Amino acid sequence: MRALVVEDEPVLRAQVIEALRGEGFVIDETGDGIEGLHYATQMPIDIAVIDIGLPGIDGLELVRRARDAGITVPMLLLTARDGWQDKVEGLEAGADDYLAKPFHLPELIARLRALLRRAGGFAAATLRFGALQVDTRAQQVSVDGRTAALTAYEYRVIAYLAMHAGETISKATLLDHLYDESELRDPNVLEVFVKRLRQKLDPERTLNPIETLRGQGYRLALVRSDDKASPPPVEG
Amino acid sequence: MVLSAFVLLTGLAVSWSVHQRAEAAAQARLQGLVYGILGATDVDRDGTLSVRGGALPDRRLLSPATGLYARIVGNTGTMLWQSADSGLALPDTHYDPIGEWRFEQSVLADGRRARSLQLQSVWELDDGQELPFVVHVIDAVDATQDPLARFDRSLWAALSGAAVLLLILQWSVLRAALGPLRRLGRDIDAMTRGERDALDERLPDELRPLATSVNALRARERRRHVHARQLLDDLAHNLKTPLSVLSNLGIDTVSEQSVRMQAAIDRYLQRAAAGSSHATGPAIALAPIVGRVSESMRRLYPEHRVDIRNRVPATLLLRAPEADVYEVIGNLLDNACKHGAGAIEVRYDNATATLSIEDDGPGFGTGDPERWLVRGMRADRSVPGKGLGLAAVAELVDAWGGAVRLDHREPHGAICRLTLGQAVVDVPP
Repeated sequence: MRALVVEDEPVLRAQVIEALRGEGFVIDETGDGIEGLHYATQMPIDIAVIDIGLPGIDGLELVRRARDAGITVPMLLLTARDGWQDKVEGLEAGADDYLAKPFHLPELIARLRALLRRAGGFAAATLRFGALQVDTRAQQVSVDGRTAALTAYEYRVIAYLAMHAGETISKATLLDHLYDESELRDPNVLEVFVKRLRQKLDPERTLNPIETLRGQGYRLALVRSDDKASPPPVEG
Repeated sequence: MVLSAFVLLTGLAVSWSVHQRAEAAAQARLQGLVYGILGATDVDRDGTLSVRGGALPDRRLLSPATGLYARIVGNTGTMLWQSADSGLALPDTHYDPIGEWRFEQSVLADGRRARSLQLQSVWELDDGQELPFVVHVIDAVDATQDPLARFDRSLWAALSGAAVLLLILQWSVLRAALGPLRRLGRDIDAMTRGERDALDERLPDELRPLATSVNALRARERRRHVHARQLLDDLAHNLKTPLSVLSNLGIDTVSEQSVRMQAAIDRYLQRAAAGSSHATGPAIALAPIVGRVSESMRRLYPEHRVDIRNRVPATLLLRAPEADVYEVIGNLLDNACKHGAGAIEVRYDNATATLSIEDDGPGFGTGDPERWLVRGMRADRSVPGKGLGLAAVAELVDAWGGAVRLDHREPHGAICRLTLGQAVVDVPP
């Protein structure tokens, strides 16, 4: 997932970025409101964390303009002014959630993940597709209750496909959402990840979780099941 | 009353003065008649007194029942002469020392007022004997013809009419003069109720400086209030970002201390807000605020499928700072969304000036719900969030002169009732 972080306090911005990268997010970052608007409208972000008090244009104006430009990704506002009148104004501007400063990074991560699930139409932290389950909180994938040993990038690929289940995701889009600007993007590496995912998740080739649409991209081929509790995954 | 007393005293003084002058004039006229009668009187050698009718000073003395009578009476009581008789009993003649005048007023048998003047005199005969006698003149006045009585009637009528006119004029002048003061008083009442922002300065020159000064003072106080709150907000803002950095350093002691600092900032900001939570601005409508906050709740909690029914009358106005009203409604609806089961109702009871927010969740548990008004208490620890919401609500509502009560809702759920007291501007029926 690709996250935009717009926070003018550099130390706090660095803390947020470090925490999000630790959760597997790819980051676009800036401390300026106008630059933040540019990222929001031009970059393929999945979610945005925006401070209200920004130079250039403030966070509320950034959200309004991004929404006016047709950007629908979830946006969470960071605010030191945590009065309800300010929160209402932020939500009316188009934000989806707010977090008052000072905040704990785990709470920020949890709220961002909840917003991403909500955007994907999921209510629970675990995305269920029959035998396949993706636990976005623990960042684990299990099949028939057995946890698959995935690398960080393998998890990112399957998690992104799961969040956009049923959609055809091009290689370019996957690369945009899984890699930083500074990282080398090689579509062939993506093919390797998908191949290894198929081997780890479906060694018997009975599940076929990932469908390749030649010339278009990849799609999670499994159907969503309900969000009722299922047995916890077992280390496989 | 002063005017009435003035009119009365003036009338009395004028009447008395005129009466005095009239009496003096009447006495002088009677004196002239006495002298005239004396001039028409003859006494022959043997002491027989006679009066020449043609020489009398007033011809009415020659006719009966004219109202003017005269007689000359000897000291032995002998009637020596009298004018034409009216058959009416006249006042008695008195005997005084020679040269003495006696003026009297009396009422005759027929009810007429009479003035009489008598002079004790003596006629010296040729042989040296003296003939003492009294010349007595009586002048009866018909009450309907009495000029003094007519004057009095006219005087009192004129004075009464003038007094009534003056009273009407005075009332009109006072009403016109006090009108701007009354309007000023009404404007001040409206400002107190939050219905006006400033006094109307279209006033007479004498009052305009007062209205201008009051408006300037109010504006200054409001700016000071806003400035102070802005400073508090800025202080909090400038502290909270560094606190965020400190709390995420991963150093336990630093995290703990930053949490304490944050709690202190929240606590004293809240108290400062409650302490300045008397409204100095116009009254604000509650229903739109409930609507906006409700919409925000639907955005924040889409998975809860909250159904918030806003039954607050559109005409309900509150005399309270807008930010504080948002704080109260926001905290209560946030609690209802987090802890309820989705159905929430906000309504207002005009009879008791009570706003209530009800949800259908698990409620406040067993025991007294009021314990959740204590700072730091949380009704449901499974739901993330600070526990200061209800305590802050209670402090703010208390600053408005109201109170918060928490109750269990039957069959399940929670009710939060706010009696708004003086914060409510009258709701039209």
